[in-house]
Amino acid sequence: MALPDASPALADAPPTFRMRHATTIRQWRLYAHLFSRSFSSMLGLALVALFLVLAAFGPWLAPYPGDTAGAVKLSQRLLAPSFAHPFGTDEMGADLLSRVIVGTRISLWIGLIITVVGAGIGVPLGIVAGYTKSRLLRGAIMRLTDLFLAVPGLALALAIVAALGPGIANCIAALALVWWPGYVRLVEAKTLSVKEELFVEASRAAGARTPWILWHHILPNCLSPIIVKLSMDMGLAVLSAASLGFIGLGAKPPDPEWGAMISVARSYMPDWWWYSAFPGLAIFLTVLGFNLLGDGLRDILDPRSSGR
Amino acid sequence: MPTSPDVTPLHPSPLLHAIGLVKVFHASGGREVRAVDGVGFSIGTGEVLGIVGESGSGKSTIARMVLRLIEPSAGRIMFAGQDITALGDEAMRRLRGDMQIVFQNPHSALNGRRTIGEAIAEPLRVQTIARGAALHARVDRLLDLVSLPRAFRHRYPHELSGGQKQRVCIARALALEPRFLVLDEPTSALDVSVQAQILDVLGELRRELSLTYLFISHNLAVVRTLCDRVLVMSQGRVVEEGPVAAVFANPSQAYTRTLLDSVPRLPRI
Repeated sequence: MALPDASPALADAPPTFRMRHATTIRQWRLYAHLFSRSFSSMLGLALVALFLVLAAFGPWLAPYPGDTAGAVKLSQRLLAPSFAHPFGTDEMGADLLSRVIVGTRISLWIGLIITVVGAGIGVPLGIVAGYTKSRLLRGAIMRLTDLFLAVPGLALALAIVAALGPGIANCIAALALVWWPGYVRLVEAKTLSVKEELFVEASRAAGARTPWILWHHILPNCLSPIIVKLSMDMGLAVLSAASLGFIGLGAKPPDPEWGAMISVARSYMPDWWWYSAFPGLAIFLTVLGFNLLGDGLRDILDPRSSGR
Repeated sequence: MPTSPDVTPLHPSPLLHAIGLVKVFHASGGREVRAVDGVGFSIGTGEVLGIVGESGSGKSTIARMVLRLIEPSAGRIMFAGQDITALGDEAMRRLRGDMQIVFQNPHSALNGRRTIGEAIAEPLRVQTIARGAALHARVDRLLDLVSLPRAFRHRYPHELSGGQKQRVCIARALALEPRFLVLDEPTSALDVSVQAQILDVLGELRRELSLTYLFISHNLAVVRTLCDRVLVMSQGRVVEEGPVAAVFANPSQAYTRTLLDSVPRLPRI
């Protein structure tokens, strides 16, 4: 057998990080280029970045940090927007800008936990349903998914919160529990097509066990649509959490949560419009930002769907 | 070795011996399609058996059944004297190191999200044969074996040409040092100029590593150059079998003659 012995020190130094990952770097550059060409994608990215900064540094950025935990300054109740209070003040005299900024963290946390838990439940179920040969298992998973999809998610979450009792934790738990069916559908469909690929058969021919195939071949090829959906869902989850807060089943009013703020502000409409308008604007911009970002990600990760 | 009395192996100790293979697919509407219908053959150690036939004749189904990538509906497969048809999953998984396959389409046989190095290392990792530096060295050696630059280990499949990808697939198939290789139309998705290179590689590897091939093709010229014996298939059945020279020089079956005549020839000038 004329196999030459492998000599690792063959004349060349070990390749640098840049050399080893040249392809990946080039790929990311292309992504960045394509992404930056689209105005709406960049707008989405800017909005998301803005809210991430607000979430991370909110307490330090807020002009009146003391106002966020329910301070009472009756002398300055319901002041209109001014230089001192750009978003105005609420019925307790607290600065609305500070409350909106600090509320970012709560809303983003809620959105993140809901989507991550939803994906954490939905993706494994979807992969199993798509890959399994057992019709019974697949049928069971998909019918359960259909059952959850048939009931509007928010209505179901409402029922769950009503049963568990109101509060942020219960609101998150309820929404996470109704959030996974979309991921099952998405991942099952993708798995069904990926598992027929030749490289899966090649892997099996090499003696790979099913978990290996799922982790190294199926999941990486399902990742792009999952990432896009995660981004889209972040906005929707923020909105859903705010909705629960609005009807009084999520965060409770002294907490600076956007939905809860609007819930109180509703009785001060329309004369003291700024009270509900600015928290509403924050919700609107967050949802818009995550949706635009998701759209942009889809355009670069899954170019076929956009007809480019 | 338990063989049914009506089958006489052509070799005293064949490496692979297929007996009465049948594969029935259930099409929609309850129809049954007999893709392979009672096919038997044997391949001696070091031999190259060709299977030719038009598309839909069941060639690729046989390739997959021999490796038990799909389960035969009936029939038995003996590999190195062992009946592998009834082998359990784990035993079969270990045996896969001895029998590997190169697919027709190298473009879809490699996962676009994994590097060439990862693809070639995969069999060694799933069979827990090598890891770390030893794995790295073996991937280098396999790349050398199919004449690809070692730096290709960091590349992704989409950066390679069809011929290069097929070399990667061959390297991956050889990673476990198999004795037996199924080649399922390994050149038909490639440019003509590249086909010859791949066939050269396969011929050399066979000599160097004393491999046994089951070579599936619809290209008669390719079969003629590479194979020792040939099986002509039509609609799931074997219509003719024999040494390549004899079958090509003197086809006894009408179907084989049609197949041979259908090869376009350039007029002699």
